[in-house]
Amino acid sequence: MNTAIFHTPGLLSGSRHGGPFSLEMKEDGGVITGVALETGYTHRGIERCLQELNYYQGLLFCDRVDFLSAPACNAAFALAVEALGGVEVPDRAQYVRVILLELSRISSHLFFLFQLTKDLGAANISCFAVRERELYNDLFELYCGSRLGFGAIRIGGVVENATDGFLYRIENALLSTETFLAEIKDSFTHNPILRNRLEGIGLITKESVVKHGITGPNARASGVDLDLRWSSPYAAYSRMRHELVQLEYATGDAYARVLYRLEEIRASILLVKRALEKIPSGNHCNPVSMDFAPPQGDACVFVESPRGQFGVYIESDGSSRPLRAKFATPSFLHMRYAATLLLEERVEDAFILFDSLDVSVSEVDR
Amino acid sequence: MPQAKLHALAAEFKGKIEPLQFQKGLRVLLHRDQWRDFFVALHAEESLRAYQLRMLTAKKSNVGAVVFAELCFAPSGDRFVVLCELSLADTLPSLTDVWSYADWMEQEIFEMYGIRVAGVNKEKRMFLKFKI
Repeated sequence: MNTAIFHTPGLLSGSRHGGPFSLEMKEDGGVITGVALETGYTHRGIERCLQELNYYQGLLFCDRVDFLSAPACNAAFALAVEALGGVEVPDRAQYVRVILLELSRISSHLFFLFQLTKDLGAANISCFAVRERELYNDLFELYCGSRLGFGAIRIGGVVENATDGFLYRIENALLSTETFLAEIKDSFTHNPILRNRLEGIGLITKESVVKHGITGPNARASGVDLDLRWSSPYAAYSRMRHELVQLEYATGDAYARVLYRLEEIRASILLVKRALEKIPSGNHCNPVSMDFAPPQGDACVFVESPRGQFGVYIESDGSSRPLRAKFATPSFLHMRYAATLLLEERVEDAFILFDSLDVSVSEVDR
Repeated sequence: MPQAKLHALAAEFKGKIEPLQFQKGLRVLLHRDQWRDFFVALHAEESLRAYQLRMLTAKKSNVGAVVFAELCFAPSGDRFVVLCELSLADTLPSLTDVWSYADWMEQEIFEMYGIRVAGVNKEKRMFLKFKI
């Protein structure tokens, strides 16, 4: 007998801070046989709003596309405007950008861990993950006044020069996360309850990655080496050594996606440490004026956000406001793929599989 | 090397090809009837298969709207933009048989710009809900 399970918006995952969506599943004997996804409950019309704001205001608004990785949104927007207007970014700012982007990646992955373990019933890991994330929120608050890093990256550089005190606090936070990471990894590899719950479910093959436009850690955990930080470097990534994430278990299931993100936190810690060693002294920003008007033309920039390839397209008509702004977000395609991924899986795994994709609903709806 | 192939392909489809102003890459303007066939031919060419659709969107124009597809050549990161101008009475062929994930993007340009794309469900709304 088929049973229809209806989840009203937001109820599917009360713990998700990414925003509400509706998931309607059909099951037969505990196996999901049909999935209908509905999005758009947090559509804010950000792209249309940007047409009414100048570039400076637009940068401070665009990070609401994905508040879990605000610096990545800011970086993509700033890079596109800089390409259009020929704005030079100081060397020090390039390194500070790498530090901010990697700190935001660590913070986002810790939030992923919090959500997943909460749905798994591993409340202790969940609490420790969110406690660890607080360290990074504090760092962003210290740096730019916003706990999520809104507006940290600006057109022409970064909002503030990174002081020695700030860099010292980063080192301390990284040290704490390294210890935490070793313990968490141990839990996932040696705890049979956690491992058996995740292993072998929600398999994403290499073919599916290409066919469904999957990017970021979800693609890399399936063995597809797609990373814009190294294939099309921006900020100071071209001057950093590629920190390869070694994953013996790149099988593409939910377990691999969790382990991959844990490994990626480790790689980000190494990248930040390397950036801290190499950061030059100097100016942190070549600021642009409020009525900055790049020449007529268009630019499109993609960056590697914690969820995958995040793109911004900006078209200028020569005025101080964009003629057209458009965001291409990884969660948009991952959310689409979730409907396919859940098919033939067990109902009790639906929450975990959704969490394993690390979809940000705010990014889907824009 | 892919650029020479792209030039040849665009010439075959009588598209106007030009370099991008601020970034590495090319732009081609196509007629509506050649929209889908061009991408099928691009995907069939072995050396051009690394071009992946990353963005599909539209903007208003004097005629009606301009649809543009943003492609990226994965190995080098080069951009390739394909544009097509059409009136709002026209129906654009779907790209879902080349990239299956284009369906949500096509749904979006239908909702936001009223551009009809073959296969798009007009009763469904992703962003602008009837009931909200």
